[in-house]
Amino acid sequence: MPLDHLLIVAFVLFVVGAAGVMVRRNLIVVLMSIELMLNAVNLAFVSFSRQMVDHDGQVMVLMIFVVAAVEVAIGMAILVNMYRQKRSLSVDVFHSMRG
Amino acid sequence: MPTDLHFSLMIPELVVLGSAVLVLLLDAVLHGGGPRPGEEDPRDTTLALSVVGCVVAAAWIPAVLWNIEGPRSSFNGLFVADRFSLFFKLVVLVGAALSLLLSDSWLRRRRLSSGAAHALVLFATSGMMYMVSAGDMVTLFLGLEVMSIPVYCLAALLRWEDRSVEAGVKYLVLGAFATAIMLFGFALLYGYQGLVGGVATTQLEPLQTTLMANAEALPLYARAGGLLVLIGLLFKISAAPFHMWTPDVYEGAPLPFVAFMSVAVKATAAAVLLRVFGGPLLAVLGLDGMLWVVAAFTMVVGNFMALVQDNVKRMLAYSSIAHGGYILVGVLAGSAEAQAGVLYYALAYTVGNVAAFAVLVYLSRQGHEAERFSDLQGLGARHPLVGGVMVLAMLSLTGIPPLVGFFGKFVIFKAAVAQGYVGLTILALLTSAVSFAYYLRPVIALFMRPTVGCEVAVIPVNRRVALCMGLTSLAICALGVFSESYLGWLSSAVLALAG
Repeated sequence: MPLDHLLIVAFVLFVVGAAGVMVRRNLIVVLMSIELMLNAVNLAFVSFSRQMVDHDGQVMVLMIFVVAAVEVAIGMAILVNMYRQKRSLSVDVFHSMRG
Repeated sequence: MPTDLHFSLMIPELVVLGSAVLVLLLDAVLHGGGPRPGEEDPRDTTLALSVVGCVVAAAWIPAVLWNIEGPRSSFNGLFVADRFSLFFKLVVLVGAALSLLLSDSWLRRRRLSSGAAHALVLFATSGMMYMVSAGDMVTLFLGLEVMSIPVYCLAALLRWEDRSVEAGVKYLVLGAFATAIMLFGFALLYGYQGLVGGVATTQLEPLQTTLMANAEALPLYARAGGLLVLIGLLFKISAAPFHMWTPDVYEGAPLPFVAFMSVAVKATAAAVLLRVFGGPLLAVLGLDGMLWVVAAFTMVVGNFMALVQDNVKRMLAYSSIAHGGYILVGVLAGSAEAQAGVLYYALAYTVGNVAAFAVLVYLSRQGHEAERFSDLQGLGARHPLVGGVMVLAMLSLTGIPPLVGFFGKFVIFKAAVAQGYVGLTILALLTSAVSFAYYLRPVIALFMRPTVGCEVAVIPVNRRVALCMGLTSLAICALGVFSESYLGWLSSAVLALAG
């Protein structure tokens, strides 16, 4: 597969993820959208890495995997606390502080 | 492949990490929930261990690493322990140690286990230290996350409080979003370095060389990569228009940890901005115009929004945005003097801001947080020394000579004018003048307003917070008075500029 095609897919994934972060109201979906963006990054790194026959990009991808998992774990912990208080996971319930 | 593993270069990081792990273990063993009658309070032990960890790591830097002979980079360029990074490590460690001192009484009053919070501060500190030492995208990214994830947890530490959890959620979502944006930029730059530079690597230095060498014909994707990385870093330094999270996070997060976040995260982001975009690289990537606008917008938004706040924490949040703007002026100017200015500013802002937060922590008491200006009313007359520290901190943040804040601004503005950014400097001076108005408000509330209600506020002397206030006040005065020799010392710490 040519590099261009892979990069176009990565770019589309990234834009879809970024749009999801900005548009969706449910915080779980927002976190999923961030994961989508990170996967787009991973795709870009491995495509470049494959094209250039180099391992640095793949190492970076492994690191991103780990960190993404950690971020989700922390995110879920915080969201559980939020749900306990507000009984909702929508960004609309944020108004105890002026946005 | 040659390997160079100089673990001795990262002794400060290892000390901080080690004490973080020890604090966590001790906290579990000594049941950190509170003292049993007749036993020593385990929270004293974890606090002492965390502060000692920071102090030992900080002392190691000037004592050993500053003048070390031999290579300053290790792990095949992944880790760079040049003086630039060492200075920022000192700043971060000072911020962390002072915030730890502040957090202790605050956590006790709320009957919180302090071990976990102290460990989180230490983990975040180690992340910052790796981040400022990053010579490679991998170290930069891992340092960033090791810094950010504990800070998200610190923001949401009061998990039964609405505002704290809200702060945690906002910080997490926007922080992760910014990281993803920055990573996509890195992916594009990695590809560019491999395809154009010939050697595929995630290291920063070869990338900068390639970008500089091909300055005339940079493809769109390389410019886009630079832009995305810059946006990710601007989120972290909370520059407008990427600042939306800052006031909410600062208002909701626990007071002593806001002090930590505001000073240490900002200093780290400034260091990374300088390292990645140092010198003429900004102009080569065509990003200097954008950074000009962002710096101007940040100074205006930060200073004017701070005017209309009635919550001291929110006021300090906007003031921190404004100070980010002044730091960006220094990054934009990019010369060696401007870099020295940013270094100076990072420490000046750290001591000034921590002093202000120390006063707020000192004046907070059971069931009565010092949050709004009205909470401070009349307390200056009763506690003149504490009020005096606030006056000193506010004057330094405004930039009144001979305090440290003045020289920070002075050096940056002078370097910016020398680089031809006259308009931006005039704007910076005007917004600084505006800042005087809101920095006066806590002082007026403390000294010139009557106490609210008939309740007599009796604030017990708190030695640790008092120590923190004393140290920061001393630093505010001493670093200002001896600014000449201090600046001379700093100029040996600036980065060698590419090109």
